[in-house]
Amino acid sequence: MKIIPYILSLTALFIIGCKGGHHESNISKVTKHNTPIQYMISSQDFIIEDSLVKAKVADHDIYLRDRKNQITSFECAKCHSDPLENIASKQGGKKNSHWNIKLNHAEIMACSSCHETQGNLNQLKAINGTPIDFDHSYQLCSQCHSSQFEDWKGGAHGKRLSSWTPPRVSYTCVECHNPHSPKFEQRMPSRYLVSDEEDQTLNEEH
Amino acid sequence: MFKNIFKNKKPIPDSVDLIQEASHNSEDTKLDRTLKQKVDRRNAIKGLTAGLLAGTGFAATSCSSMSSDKDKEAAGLKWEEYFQKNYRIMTGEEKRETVKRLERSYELQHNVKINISDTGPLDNVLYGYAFNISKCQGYMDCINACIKENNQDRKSNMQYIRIHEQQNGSMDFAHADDNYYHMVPAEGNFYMGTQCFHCENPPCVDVCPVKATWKEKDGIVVVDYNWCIGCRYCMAACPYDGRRFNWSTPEIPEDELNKEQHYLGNRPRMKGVMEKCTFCIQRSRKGQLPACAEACPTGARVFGNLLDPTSEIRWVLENKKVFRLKEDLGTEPKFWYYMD
Repeated sequence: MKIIPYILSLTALFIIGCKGGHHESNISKVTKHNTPIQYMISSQDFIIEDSLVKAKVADHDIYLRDRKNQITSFECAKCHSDPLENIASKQGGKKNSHWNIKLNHAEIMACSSCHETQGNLNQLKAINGTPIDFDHSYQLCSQCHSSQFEDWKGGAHGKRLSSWTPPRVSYTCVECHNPHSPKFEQRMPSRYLVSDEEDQTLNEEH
Repeated sequence: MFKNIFKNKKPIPDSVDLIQEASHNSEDTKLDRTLKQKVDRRNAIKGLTAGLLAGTGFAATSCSSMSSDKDKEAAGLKWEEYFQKNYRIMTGEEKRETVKRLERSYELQHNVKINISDTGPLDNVLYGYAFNISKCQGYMDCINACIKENNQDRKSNMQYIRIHEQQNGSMDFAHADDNYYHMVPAEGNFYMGTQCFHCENPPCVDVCPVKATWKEKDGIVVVDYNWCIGCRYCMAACPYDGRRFNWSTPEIPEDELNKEQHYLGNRPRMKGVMEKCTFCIQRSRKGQLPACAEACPTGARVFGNLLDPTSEIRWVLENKKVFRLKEDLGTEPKFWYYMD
């Protein structure tokens, strides 16, 4: 009879021991933290651009740098007073401007796949003909690159500008990818270590 | 070896609790009491030795009519530096004084004005990092940006970040190349960056015999360079090769010195102390991105607040396939890898 308390306490110890041993990872608890955060600092302290535009996306507040101010020969209509067909017929097939643009973006693409070539040349156009503003060119890209667009909206694709704090100011697609040749090029790495042997042996840890 | 270390570990407390605990208990932990005692003894020694020092080299410098006022001041400041407290138990005022003294000391020695900050952690912030292994192209722009930002020794080619070139379909750090020089991305390879992962449960902190390294409230693992004795236990304990040692006095070209510094971050280090990535503490606590994330041309680096449900890092963790290195060790790195 005297043995019962011992058995009981042993069982209790065993249970406590098990509980102590199995715990949910603290990081997974942290990442369930769902209270909105109030920040004392703002990304606006680091972003000197005076004209930011708010991206037209649902469920995310993303600000972008205004694009039209960065395009050197905007507005297009300043030169393009005549319709494109008229200019083309005068030039006899030769390219006088935009000669440096080589289209290397899917095989079936042409200028008119993205650019408005009739009517208002100051804007882009969607596949169905809907005009798209140059500041919101991500709408155009997202027609084909839908998974990248989802990642960009969430924050897994693309990058922030200067600051990690809200409001979120991000790069738009064409600030990293040249829309006419969007693939990243192969190049040499920006550094190479040539350490002398003495340093090498000192720094070798295993 | 690590298994033994982790077998004896207490259950890992919840991180949010940790944060609150840190703010409540900062005065009364056993560790702090020990540290305080030590400092008291140091102060006593300081007082004693200062009185006994007439006739030693130091006293000779400060009393000699040959040396200039500047030399005397520099020697005096250096003297005080030997007796400064562990940064973690300094009061706000002591921190400010220390930082000012270090600025002045640097100015006297190098004739360059630097700005050392002692900005503390932001409330409700726990920093986390995600690295997209589908996007990294191996350009190494991040490494150069990091070296410049953090005033790393140019002579020994110190670099906190390593980019490992790995063969597709394998993950083998023993055979990965972190010093390649050919056109990248190379066919059939992918690139994986490593640096300090700022573990929630950092083994480097546990092994430090002098408590010169610790995890801040915002999750950044930092080093008090003035308190570090250079034993390199932390370097041996880190399972990720995240720590670097200054075998010699770091050399930085004067025109490349980053003058915006933090006490726990990129201020100039001495010979014989440890250093490592601090998530660019001098930038991140102000709200800026770490230099590596800002320099990355491919957007492979995501940095943000793990406690903020609207942050991009949280979106990555909730929506992408993520993994961390050596998760079985229980170190809980706050650095995730993900792919498209």
